[in-house]
Amino acid sequence: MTLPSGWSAQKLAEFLAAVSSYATEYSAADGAVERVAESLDAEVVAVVTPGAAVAAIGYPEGAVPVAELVAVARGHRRELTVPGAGSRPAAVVELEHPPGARMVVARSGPPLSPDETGLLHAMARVTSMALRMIRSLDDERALRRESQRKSAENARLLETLTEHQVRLERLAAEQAALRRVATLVARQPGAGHVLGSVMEEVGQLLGAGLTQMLRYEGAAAAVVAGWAGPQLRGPVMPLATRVALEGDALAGFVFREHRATRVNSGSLGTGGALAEHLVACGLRSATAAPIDVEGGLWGVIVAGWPARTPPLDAETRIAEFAQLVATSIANAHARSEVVRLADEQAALRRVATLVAEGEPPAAIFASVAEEITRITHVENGYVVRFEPDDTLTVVATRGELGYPHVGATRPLDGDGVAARVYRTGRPAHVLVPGETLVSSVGAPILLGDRLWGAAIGTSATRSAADLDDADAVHEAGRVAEKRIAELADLVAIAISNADAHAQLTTSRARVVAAADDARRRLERNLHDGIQQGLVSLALALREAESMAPTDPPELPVALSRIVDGLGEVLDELREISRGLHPANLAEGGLEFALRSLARRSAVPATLDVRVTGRLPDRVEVPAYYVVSEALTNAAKHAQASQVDIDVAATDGVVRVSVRDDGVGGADTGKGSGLIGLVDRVEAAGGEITITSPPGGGTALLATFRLADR
Amino acid sequence: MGAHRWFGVGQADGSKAGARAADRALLHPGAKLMIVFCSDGCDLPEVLRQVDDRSGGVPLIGCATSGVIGPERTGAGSVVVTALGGDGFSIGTAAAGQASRDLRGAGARAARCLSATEERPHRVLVLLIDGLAGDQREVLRGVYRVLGAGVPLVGGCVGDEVRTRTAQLHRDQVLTDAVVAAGIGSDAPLGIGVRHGWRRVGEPMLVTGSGGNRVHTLDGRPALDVYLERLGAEAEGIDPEAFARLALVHPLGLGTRGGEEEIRLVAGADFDDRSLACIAEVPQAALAWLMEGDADSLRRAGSAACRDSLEALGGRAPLGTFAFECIGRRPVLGEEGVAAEIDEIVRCTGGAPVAGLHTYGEIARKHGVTGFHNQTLVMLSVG
Repeated sequence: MTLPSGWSAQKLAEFLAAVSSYATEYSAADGAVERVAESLDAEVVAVVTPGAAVAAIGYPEGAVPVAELVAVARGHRRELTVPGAGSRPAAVVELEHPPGARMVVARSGPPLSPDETGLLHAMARVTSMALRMIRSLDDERALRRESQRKSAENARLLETLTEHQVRLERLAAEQAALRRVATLVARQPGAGHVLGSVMEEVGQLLGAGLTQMLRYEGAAAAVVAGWAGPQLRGPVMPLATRVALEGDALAGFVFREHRATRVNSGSLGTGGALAEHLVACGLRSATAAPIDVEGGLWGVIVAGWPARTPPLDAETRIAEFAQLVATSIANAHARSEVVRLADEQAALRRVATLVAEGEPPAAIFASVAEEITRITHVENGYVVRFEPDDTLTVVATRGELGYPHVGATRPLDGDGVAARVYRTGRPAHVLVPGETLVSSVGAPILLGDRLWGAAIGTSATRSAADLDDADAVHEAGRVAEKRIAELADLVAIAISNADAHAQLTTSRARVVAAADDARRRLERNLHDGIQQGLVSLALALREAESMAPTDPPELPVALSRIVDGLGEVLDELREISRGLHPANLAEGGLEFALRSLARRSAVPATLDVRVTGRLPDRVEVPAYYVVSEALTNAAKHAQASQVDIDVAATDGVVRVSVRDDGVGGADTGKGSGLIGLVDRVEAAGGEITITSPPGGGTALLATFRLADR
Repeated sequence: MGAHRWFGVGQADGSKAGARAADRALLHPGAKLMIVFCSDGCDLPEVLRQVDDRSGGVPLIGCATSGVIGPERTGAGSVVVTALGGDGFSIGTAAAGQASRDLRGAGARAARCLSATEERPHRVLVLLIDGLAGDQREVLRGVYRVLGAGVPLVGGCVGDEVRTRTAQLHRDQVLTDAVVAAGIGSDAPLGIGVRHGWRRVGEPMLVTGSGGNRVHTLDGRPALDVYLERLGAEAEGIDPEAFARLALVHPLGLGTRGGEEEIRLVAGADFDDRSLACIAEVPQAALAWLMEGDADSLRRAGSAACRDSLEALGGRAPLGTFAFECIGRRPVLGEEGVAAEIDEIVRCTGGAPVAGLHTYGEIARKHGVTGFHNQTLVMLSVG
């Protein structure tokens, strides 16, 4: 048989037309194997990639022998089983696409002729081209789809963003409203003012016609705040109006169900007193949302709306708002409580610091009176001392009144707050009736069991209208009482400390004075007795010396030596008696005595004294001993080469400073004599500091107040 | 050879033809498949009811036809019922409606009747297709996709004289625009014979231009001119009747590897655009031979097809045979020729019963991928 010319080209053209008409790579491969099978009348044709059969024909549905096809495609086997015809030689042709793919052909009957083989190669080539083209188109389509998907996604995102923007703006408006309310709360105006403001914010924010806040009180709800829009036909319900909850569709519903509700125009007319009021104001629908304060149902926010139905999310937004307001109020309350506690602690600390620093009681009293005026609602503060003759003496006063003055006395009779404290020894709270009301609070100052006096605060004068809330006044009094009592305790401690300090100083002074007396007596005894005796003995010896014979020649020499020795003994005795009590101090004053000390100092000493006239004895004696002991220390322990002494009396204070350039490291606890100095200076009401770092020399500074405290 | 199998054919006409034909076919109990061919004019639902009543609901396929082949040879108004039974058969049947909407899908759906049947060493799918549904080869492609190369196909397209509506039968249903199928699994061989009795004339022509059933050009020239040229007829002045007489005995043969050509009857010509109209599709780029033949050559094809089908049986006498005879052969053979052909078939099978029908396109695939024929006799011998 001679094939007509063009047979192969014609077949190929048909094949190309058929294969390239498929939409997907898979269907094209599937169509290609079918066309190849029919063109070559081959029962089995398959396109095989390295691990799979992409398309195959000639096998029962679902029974493509992939492993066998792959083995043939890879050249591992030369024959393929043709169903119904057994093993047959297989023709394998490479495809340029998909990568690594091969077309496998097998048929019953004769092997492929050269013409058929040529056609097979050409069809394989066309198959590759078609598959690659479809893949490219697929990729492009996928890209376009992805691009479209992204566009859609972007559009959706934009929509979401816009939606979020709207929500953010709404939130911002709500937050601003809330902030205004919170600020108001923080400023502590009347409760009515705050709630009214909340009603206005809610109403304006949501575009309501009328808003009312009611507080649940038993079987009714009382109006505590309200706001009416500018276009409203009627007023808000008056404050304190009570609405029965029974059968009420708004406040009653929220009370019973503990959740928000809405009433549309159809049923608003029969919803109870609140609803009727809204109708009367020309409103057509309503919502009611609960206010929960710290977990309990506290009240309800009722809003009336001009539309036939309330805005879609009105209840939710009001509920959120009510919750935020409740939280805000609770927070503000907690914050003010903390601030109040901190204020109290600060006041106590200020006074306690003064007490600890040993400030004179008069300064403490003044400070306490000042702190009392800082207590909320307290305008005037006093500290009074109870006297044995049933009177009081004002020891401190602060406040606008400035009356009575310090030093004023008052009888402790009558029913005033001081008299009550005096009588009972307990805190007292007195309301003084009259045109303007003053409330006074007092607390006892107790020194152990002894009632010493009282700390007292009085309120500002207030109008009767301000005092309609007896509970509030009572509460304020209770708070003031507690704080004044705490301050009174501090006064008691200050007084006790001052007393103890005075007693200690007196005691030390007595000890020092007694010692000084003993020394003075000893010095006098030495001077008047032994010293005079020895002087007389020395004069007698000098007389005996002049009368003594020259023989033996040793006698006058021996006598002369005894006279000299006696003179030395006298000098030593004088020195001892000076140490016991510096007689020259009493005679010549501090500067004179110090010059004598400096002159005799073993370590070279400079002296600078800037004191005019004589100082009190209680200052001169310890000052002298400070210098004396410092010089002794410098010579004995400090290995100093120079000592500088500086004494000055300025502004009523005498400062005595002694510095050496020795080894330092002096310790007042080592029985160095310095310990005695501390006692002596403090007994004189002075203060002494000893600075002696190792290697840094030793410095003593003693100060004495000239005026007695 | 395995379990007991039997094959019975009955033919009857007149009243209760269905029941009587069934009675004759049901030789033994244990029928597994009923195949019913009805001549035009039968009350199909009634026939189905009668056969079903007799068989007791045995699976059934069948069709109406312009001519049945049976023990009584041919007969108008006849019903031919075949019954297969016994343990050596496994049977599945299926019907796929609305075939013209998806020819491949219909083929695939019908073919799946075999996948549910018990596995047997020999299998065949018998197909009866509405001849008016469209390109029959698409149906066969759908079948091939499901069954692969391992299952031979036989059958035919169903038509009637006026070609407006055909009837396919499945169980108790009368269908149209349908593919009905019976998958037969058998312990014994099943043989197929395909013969048309036509001879090639000259070298093949290349179908260079075709669309559907119409051939526009052969070897790059107007198909009608090439066709007439090959016939040695004058292209000028030939009238349609003369052309029809010529064409009846000169179909085109499409080349298949090593088997019978797929015959395409030339049904007419367009003398204006010089194209040929064929029964069934002539694919582009196909090789086509001019064929020729006569009553003798065609009648001899009957016994040849029968011998071919018996070859696979290894010398064993068949239990029975099916014959799918193209309606286009009848004008060539004549009524007597047809009867003589059937006599030859029966002789060839050694007296085994034969059942068949006249078809508008024959299906036979033993090897290769395609298997759609015209003007051909297809035989199935059941061993």
